[in-house]
Amino acid sequence: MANSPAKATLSLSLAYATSEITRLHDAVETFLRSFVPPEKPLMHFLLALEEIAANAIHYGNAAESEAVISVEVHYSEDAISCEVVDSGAPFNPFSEATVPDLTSSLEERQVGGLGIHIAKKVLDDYSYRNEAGRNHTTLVKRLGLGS
Amino acid sequence: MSLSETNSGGVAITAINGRLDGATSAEYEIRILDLLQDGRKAMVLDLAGVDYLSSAGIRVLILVFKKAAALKLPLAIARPQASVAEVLSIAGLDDILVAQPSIEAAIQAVGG
Repeated sequence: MANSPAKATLSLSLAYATSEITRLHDAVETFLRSFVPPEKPLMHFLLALEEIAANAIHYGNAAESEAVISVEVHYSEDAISCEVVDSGAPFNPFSEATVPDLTSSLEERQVGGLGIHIAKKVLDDYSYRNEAGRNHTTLVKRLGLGS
Repeated sequence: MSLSETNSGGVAITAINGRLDGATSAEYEIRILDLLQDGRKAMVLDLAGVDYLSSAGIRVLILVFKKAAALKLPLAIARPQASVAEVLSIAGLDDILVAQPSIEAAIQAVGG
């Protein structure tokens, strides 16, 4: 195996279309697997990233044809982190998303807010800020022991 | 993504393969609901080939189970990979969509 660099970054731009989720998953997984990370934190990170990106695509400003969602993924030996920047209406997914229903029967089960709930559960750290009219959502998954 | 179906003693065994995520969920939803409404008397969803499940895929599973209940059609899921079982658990679904460890157990669970 070649020596892994201490740090590396992958930058992507996504259109506001659900089909972009496949391209995002493939590109980020290929990038991260080149560093041979442990499987479980890798899967957790990919899952959280999809949930955040899908949210941005779903609620984003699709009316602006030029608009894109920018995704920057950082790999280091300690952690995988990422920032998702979109131009949708200001929305903090970690505090404003619907609180999901996790206990009702199947007949009554609703799925709103489930994706954000999953992202919060599998991440080690997450944050949100609105800057210059854009949503900046940051995700962190640590790669150390116990993650 | 792909879907294949076999039959065992009148129970349709539908195998889902690949990612069940935000990009594939809409098509899986249509195709599985079509199968459910096409006169099958019981169905097993074999998840062994699903290597990734997100909330969009969970939404499909919930919709499919609700439709099966409305049709009074016995339905079970079988053989989820560990990472998929973990997501079902995080979503609070492991108690209400009980995953069977084998196809045989799932066929038995749906009365086949």
